[in-house]
Amino acid sequence: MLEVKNLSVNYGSIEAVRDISFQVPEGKIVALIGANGAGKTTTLSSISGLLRAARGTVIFQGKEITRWPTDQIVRAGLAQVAEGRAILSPLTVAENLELGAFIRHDRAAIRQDLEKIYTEFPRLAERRSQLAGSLSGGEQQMLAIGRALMAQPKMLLMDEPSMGLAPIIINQVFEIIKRINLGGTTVLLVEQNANKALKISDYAYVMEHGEITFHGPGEVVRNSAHVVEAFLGKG
Amino acid sequence: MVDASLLTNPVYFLQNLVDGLARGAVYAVFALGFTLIFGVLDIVNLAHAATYMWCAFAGWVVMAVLNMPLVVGLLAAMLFGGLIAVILEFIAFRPLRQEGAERLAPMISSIGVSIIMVSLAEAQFSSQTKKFPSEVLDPKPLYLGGTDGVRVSWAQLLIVVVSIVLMVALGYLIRRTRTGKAIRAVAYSQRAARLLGINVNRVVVVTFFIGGVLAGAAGILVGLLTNNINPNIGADIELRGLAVVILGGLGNIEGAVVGGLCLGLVETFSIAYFDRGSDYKDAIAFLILFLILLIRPNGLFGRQEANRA
Amino acid sequence: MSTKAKIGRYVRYILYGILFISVGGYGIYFVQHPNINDLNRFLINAILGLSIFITLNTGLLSLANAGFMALGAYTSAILVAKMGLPLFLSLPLAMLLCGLLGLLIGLPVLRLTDVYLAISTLGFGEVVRVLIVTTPDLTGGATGANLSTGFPFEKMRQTETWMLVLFLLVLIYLFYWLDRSKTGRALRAIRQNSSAAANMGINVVYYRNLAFVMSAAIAGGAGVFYAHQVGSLENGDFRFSRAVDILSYGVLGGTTHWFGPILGAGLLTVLPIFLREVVGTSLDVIRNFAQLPLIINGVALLLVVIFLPGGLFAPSRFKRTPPAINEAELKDLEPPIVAVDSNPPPGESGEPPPLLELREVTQVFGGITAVDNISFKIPPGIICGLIGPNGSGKTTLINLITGIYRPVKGRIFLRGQDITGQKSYIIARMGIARTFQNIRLFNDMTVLENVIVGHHARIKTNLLTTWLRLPRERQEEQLARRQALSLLKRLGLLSFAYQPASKLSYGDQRRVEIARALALNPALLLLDEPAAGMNEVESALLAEFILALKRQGYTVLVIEHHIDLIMQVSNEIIVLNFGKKIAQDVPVGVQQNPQVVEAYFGQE
Repeated sequence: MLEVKNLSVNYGSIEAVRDISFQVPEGKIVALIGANGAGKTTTLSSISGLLRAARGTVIFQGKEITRWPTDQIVRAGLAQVAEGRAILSPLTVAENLELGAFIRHDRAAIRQDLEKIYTEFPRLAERRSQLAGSLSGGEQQMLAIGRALMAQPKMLLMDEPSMGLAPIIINQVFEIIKRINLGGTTVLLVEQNANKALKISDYAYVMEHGEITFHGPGEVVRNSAHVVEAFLGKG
Repeated sequence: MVDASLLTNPVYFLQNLVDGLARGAVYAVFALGFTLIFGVLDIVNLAHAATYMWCAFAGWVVMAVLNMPLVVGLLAAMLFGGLIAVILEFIAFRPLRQEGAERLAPMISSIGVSIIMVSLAEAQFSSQTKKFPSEVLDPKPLYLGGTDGVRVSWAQLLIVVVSIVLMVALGYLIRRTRTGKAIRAVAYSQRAARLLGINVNRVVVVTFFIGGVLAGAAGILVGLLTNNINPNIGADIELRGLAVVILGGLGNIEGAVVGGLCLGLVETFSIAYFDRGSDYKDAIAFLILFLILLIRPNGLFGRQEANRA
Repeated sequence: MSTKAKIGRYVRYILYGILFISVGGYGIYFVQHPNINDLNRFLINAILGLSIFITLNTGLLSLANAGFMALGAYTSAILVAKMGLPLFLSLPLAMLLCGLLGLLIGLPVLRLTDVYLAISTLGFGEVVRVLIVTTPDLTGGATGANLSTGFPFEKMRQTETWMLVLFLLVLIYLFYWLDRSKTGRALRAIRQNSSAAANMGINVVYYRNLAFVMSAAIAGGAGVFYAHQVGSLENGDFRFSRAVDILSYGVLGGTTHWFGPILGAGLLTVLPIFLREVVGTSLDVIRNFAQLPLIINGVALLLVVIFLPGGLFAPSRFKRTPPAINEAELKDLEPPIVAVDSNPPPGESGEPPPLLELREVTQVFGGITAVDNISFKIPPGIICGLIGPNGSGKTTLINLITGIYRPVKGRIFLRGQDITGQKSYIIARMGIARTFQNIRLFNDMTVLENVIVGHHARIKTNLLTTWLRLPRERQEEQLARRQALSLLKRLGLLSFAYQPASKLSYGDQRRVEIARALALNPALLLLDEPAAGMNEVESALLAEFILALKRQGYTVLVIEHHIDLIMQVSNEIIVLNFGKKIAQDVPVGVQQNPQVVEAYFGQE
């Protein structure tokens, strides 16, 4: 579904991503794991068109989207749940969700989806008229995921959904991701929390210093000594 | 202080209250455009006042030269303002947004555009004052409470009505509509807005259009109120607009409305109750601006942290 | 090269073309019809250009100069024509008055972000005009200052070309040496990055005010000459369009070299005269188009801002052949390392008191607790790692320690001294230096100049020593230069000394940023993700570099995600999660701490 070929991205004067290639098959969850600063977010930003690739191509559903503007990529069905959740704190929860459906015009269906999200995340329903900035970290993450789903994406890019969340909430978030995937949405999951991410992933790539250093099925990567090293050092 | 008998005269007080509110309503409409563009784009558009001035002329041309009715004149001036603002976005602001130029660059380019616009107006209309024919608005005022009572001109009435309509419409647009939500998303974070599939450039154009419409409305309303249109009216209101925006907090829409009304009232009452107040009225805005920066840099209603140095 | 830069090149050619044609054309005309008034007007405009230059060069956009010009003009007119003072006395008095008023306006406004200066100075000229109109007894009011209001022309008209040339030469002398002094470096540093400048111990508010006051005084001086050149004054001479004219001299000519605004003033003074007097004689359209100069002005501003951001005259600051470095004279010049030789004696418990201590520090942003009740101590001479997942509050903590934020609760001590809520530049001078997550070098300076900025607080010179060329100025500058070179040598960066900082590789820029921080002689060095974006080889080199710093006696607090690096260099590691400290231990202890493993790896 998504294919990244020989992608290099500069971030300021840093060559943050160097010549990486990977694939995300339709209907799967693929994880991109690695320590902070390894270039994972830069990779996602460049797939979403927020950062311009220095070299390489990104192909989504057979179309090359490498130089497309972000809004067009989102319209093509590739939505992103950004790192730090990127919720619009001065807007209400409901407004955030409505904006998630910005690219759609089928009002009745949007209203239905909104209700679906509220059933899925009852906490959001309770707080629908509160400002998004007043939610707790976990609720904000739910909102960000719910908002991305409102776009009815074919594929979801998730940037560190566990970031800054308490362990119990993290488990919930990963369950939700699994459920979304079962509903037919392909997921590319970028995570620092490798263990949990690998558990739900079909396939995984490990990133270090801007390069992909290891890849394989989730279970294989999880048991690889390489990954342990990459995260907790060689000491 | 002026004549003591005036101080205790309730009609005189009410008269000034009416005049001050009408004046303040225009300041508020003008400042709304300023603060909207700053709030969304972090740009101080110093060509806003030149847009306002050109719209006053546009309205004058439509009503006095083409003899069109008031409603057409109003709408034409507002539309014209929107168009000018959109053109400004394309020639003076967008080129500076795309490659991360210096922070002050948009302000300088807006000064450049502003001086061109004012010069062209001087060349076109000369510095002489233009007036509206009396068919446009009945010059005879209304009296509340007999001919000794409070005098309200049709222009003042129009100003108050149009201003309220515009403020309510803007509030509705920003709070309730899809476009308004997109504007607020862009104002909060362009990156987040992009990820929602919002075409940020298009939203910016819409924002400039709305800002221009507000400048246009303010321009034609002041033209009708003072019946005096010349290329320098922009310079007269620019500082007031900025003072209002600072008073209400840069980027704060409610603040601009309250700030505008405050400035209108303060100006009117100081002219009315102080000797030679009218000589100093142009300095009042500056004084307010300066005091606010001294005491509460974030404006009376501001929340944002402005202090960085 | 981008399209914009290409167009910029053509814009430069075209503007230079226009400059040569109009100056040449006007020159020929001038020989036939010499007009000393035009020459004087140009010289006055050049002075005005320099008045805006000093603010733009500090990164400030001021629109007050027309107002200060008016103030200078009227003050001197009154002093000379009404009170009979000689011009050479009224000039300094008028300039002093403008400077003082500048200070009065600058003090409240220049604390705020740069936008506010433009906004608040926009109306200043108008207020001055209101004052003029409302004081007719003093200034002639709306009638203007002329014979009918007590300003006889023959008393007023005193400006001579030689005075203007002399004044301009004095200004050029002052600006030339200013640019080469501690003050000039500070102003340029502020323009490029005011927060980095503050963290180098530069008092940003002070220097912004200094620049603004100088600008006000110079504009006032230009006003004095203007009054006595024209011989009469009207408040309309100082409208907003005058402020735009002055701004254009600077923006158009360039704001990095004193010659820029003079060139800009030349172009914008001569072009309208050329169009009117030379081209206009055969083209009535141009002759009768009174607004043409202003329109040219506006178009030029727009073109230059968009396509030629540096202005017409923006020479490279970098010498093609750098001076030779005499390595022998760099010996024994290494600055003392504070952390080592100012260690207070051990306390009663026998332990040395902590270098840095945080007590229950809390910071809240918009309802979210970014730093939650954190306490720790760092003894001198160690490397302390600070790790934690993204968003756990590490950078906020550094911003609290360096005074960028003031904590809502808790206290911070440096060597037992309370530094909570102190200004950044004072904390920097007290001995805490830092680097930034995203490198903030001063890009239009050489590596050496960047490091010399770090010496700012220790260079004992001032404007007097600079302008009087006192021996101390040279000695101090030389000393700073040699110390900076010796620091670069010690860090193995000597070969980069004369290169532009922006031309270095990423890893080298990181090391230069550390060198610049070390130039402060800090007791404590804070490194914010120094290895971000580095590959394994580069980050291994950086680890060596940091260990070398420890051997030289520095205390270092380092935030880093490269766990290898942290484990390798740290004596002690502090771990944050959700803004809380969850561990402080030796590296091995941290690695085995189940809470840390959970936060980082998600192991159950």
